Amino acid sequence: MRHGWNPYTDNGGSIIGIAGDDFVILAGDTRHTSGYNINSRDERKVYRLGENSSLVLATVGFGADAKDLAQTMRRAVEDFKFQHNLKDMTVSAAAQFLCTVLYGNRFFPKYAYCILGGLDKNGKARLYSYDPVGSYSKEGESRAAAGAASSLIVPFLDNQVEFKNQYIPSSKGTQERPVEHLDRDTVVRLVKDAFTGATERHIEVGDGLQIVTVSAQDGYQEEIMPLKRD
Amino acid sequence: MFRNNYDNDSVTFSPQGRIFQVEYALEAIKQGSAAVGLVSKTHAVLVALKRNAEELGSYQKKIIGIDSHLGIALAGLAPDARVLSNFMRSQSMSSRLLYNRPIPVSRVVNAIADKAQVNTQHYGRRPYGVGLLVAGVDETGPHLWEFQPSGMVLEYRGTAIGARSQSARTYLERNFESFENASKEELVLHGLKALRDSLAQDKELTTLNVSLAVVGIGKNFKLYDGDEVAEWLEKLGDTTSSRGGGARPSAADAPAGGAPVTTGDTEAGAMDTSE
Amino acid sequence: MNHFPEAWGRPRDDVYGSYDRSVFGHDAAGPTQHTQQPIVTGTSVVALKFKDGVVIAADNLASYGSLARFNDVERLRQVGTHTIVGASGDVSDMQFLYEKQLENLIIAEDYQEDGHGLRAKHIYSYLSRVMYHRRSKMDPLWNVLLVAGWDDGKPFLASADLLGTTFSSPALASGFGAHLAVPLLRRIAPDEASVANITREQAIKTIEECMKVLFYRDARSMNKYTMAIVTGKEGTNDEPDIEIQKDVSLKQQSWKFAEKIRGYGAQTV
Repeated sequence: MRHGWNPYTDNGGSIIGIAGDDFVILAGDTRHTSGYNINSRDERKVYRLGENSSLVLATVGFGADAKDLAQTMRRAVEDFKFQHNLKDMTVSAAAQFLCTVLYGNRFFPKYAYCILGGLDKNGKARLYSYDPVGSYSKEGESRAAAGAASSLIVPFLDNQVEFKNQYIPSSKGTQERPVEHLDRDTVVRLVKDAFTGATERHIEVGDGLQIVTVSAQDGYQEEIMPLKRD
Repeated sequence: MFRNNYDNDSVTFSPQGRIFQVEYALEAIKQGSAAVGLVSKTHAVLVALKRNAEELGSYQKKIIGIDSHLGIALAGLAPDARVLSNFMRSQSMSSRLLYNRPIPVSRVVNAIADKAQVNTQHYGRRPYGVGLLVAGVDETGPHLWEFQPSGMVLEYRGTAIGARSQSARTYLERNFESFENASKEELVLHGLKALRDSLAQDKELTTLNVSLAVVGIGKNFKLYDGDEVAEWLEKLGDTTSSRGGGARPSAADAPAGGAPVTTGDTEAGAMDTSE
Repeated sequence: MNHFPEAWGRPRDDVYGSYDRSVFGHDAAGPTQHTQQPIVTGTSVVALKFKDGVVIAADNLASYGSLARFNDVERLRQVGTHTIVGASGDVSDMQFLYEKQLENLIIAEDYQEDGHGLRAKHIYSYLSRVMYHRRSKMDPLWNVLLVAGWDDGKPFLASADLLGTTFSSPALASGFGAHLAVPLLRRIAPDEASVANITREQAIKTIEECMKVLFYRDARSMNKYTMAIVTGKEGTNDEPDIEIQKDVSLKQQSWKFAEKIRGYGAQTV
């Protein structure tokens, strides 16, 4: 019997992205695992693509591939800037590029799930999410989650961001609550709730929560909130 | 057409021990408009005079950012400079990717020097027709290097290349002692004054024809172009040459003893590649 | 099964006849082979940050399966002026990294003589890229590496493994140490902030304790090890002091406690 070597592993953790009207929030926990081991309690998953960029990438899955993708993207965004007279890459261009990179590795995939966020030229939020071989929606989306606890987080976001299964009280369950953009404080609260919940129920999620906000008003902001370390 | 029988390629020495193709390449630098560079203890500055070939045409780019800690000013063939700057960028990127560090200025300069030298030793190749001033900051502080197509590179406290650059160098030689402790503003103004001195009689510095860039310890390479230059020209005041007329300086203009600012003399020392 | 590992898992000559090597043409040595498993191995490397630096240790044993094959192997290596690298896993891959890759890297760097030597984070970045690159070629270097040193004016400690996975933490241990040593280390270094309260002596004592616990319960360990202590000057990248203690013996090590343990081992009752 020959035991084949597996070039992949799963380093746990989860990421979330939520787009508001003129801001986008990406967040990820800071736990890094191998099986039942916690390798690190402070390994971040959300990357800013360039020093003054509005582009933010969150990656989760196989840690080495995830970091390599982040580095590839950062390099591409930087390179674009120098090749195009210091103009920033647009978020839609970065989104298409990430798709190309991921599909370029179709036959030896980068085993990482990506969420890309940023502001377009009108200062409106854009959010894209990808599978490991690059499929994504050009229209973007309002919320996304990936990683170990995505199956716990997605239904929560369905309900709280898309208002799924919410009805206008007076309609006796016949009229759906209309979807609207959430304000920033609400979104930050949702992100924190999603992760405290996931931390309770998933062993690979915890330690710390890195929350990155990019808004037309306040630019780039980053916050670390402690999560349970058990 | 030919100066002699020894300039058909860059692999043949003349009996006097010169390689004419390389010397012609150095002449190409002098065809380009002037670029000035200078350093203090905290900053490195590039200042350049842009030209437009035609009244209705745009101005040729003179300063190119390479990385957040590094940039170049060019004089000579701009397309050749693009090739070199693209190479420098890829070197710079590799350094960040492989070693997680911004490339040290001397390393990237030596990398292009090695590339340029190859062109002086292979049949069928042409030396780069461009000179560069490389300004950057690394862990050992701010640096200014001059690159020549011969493959020669030298570090300077201040120097200038391109057309009528001797006048700018003369200014730098006379003032270099105040560079070391100069503030960012003072350093840029010294650069502009040096550039101003290289102007022809009827010319002046304008927002259209001046490009300048500053990089400092902990401060990213910042390029000022077009309207962004206005604030600097305002601080400068007089935008015409202070030398009264644009004539080349006589030998007597140079300070006695030869200041150590510009040790490499681009006019005469073109073939000083043996050092 | 014989004792040639390269024959393991292959069709037996006495059953199938010897392999027809002519299919490789003139290259009778056979096809290019990639490491599928480690052969001679080193066990855990443990490391801990303290206020002014890092302590890192690894024992001197190289095992061939369960055979204690060599007992004088150095698994820590100083690389440049600011860095100690420790390797567990395949010893030949470790030697390739140390003697070839890192040696050549440092020679090339030193030759520049421009005051831009590689420090801990640079060596770590380089090693991470090498490890990830090799795994991507499906030809991994079968190691877990810990890189300890001094950088950006503070202690540096990070890990890279055969998959190219990288992470950093104030306390790290590879192999068995990830199970046995890390909990002990995290008692005094639960997070980055706590590093400021750990003294050099405390760090050394804790690492010594870990080596002892590992010797008690890791069957592929031995009681002789090498410990390196990197001590830097806070806030500067000046060359740190690197003290390498070789042939260290475990202190106050005794099997006496095992006498009362029942339920497994050689006891009959």
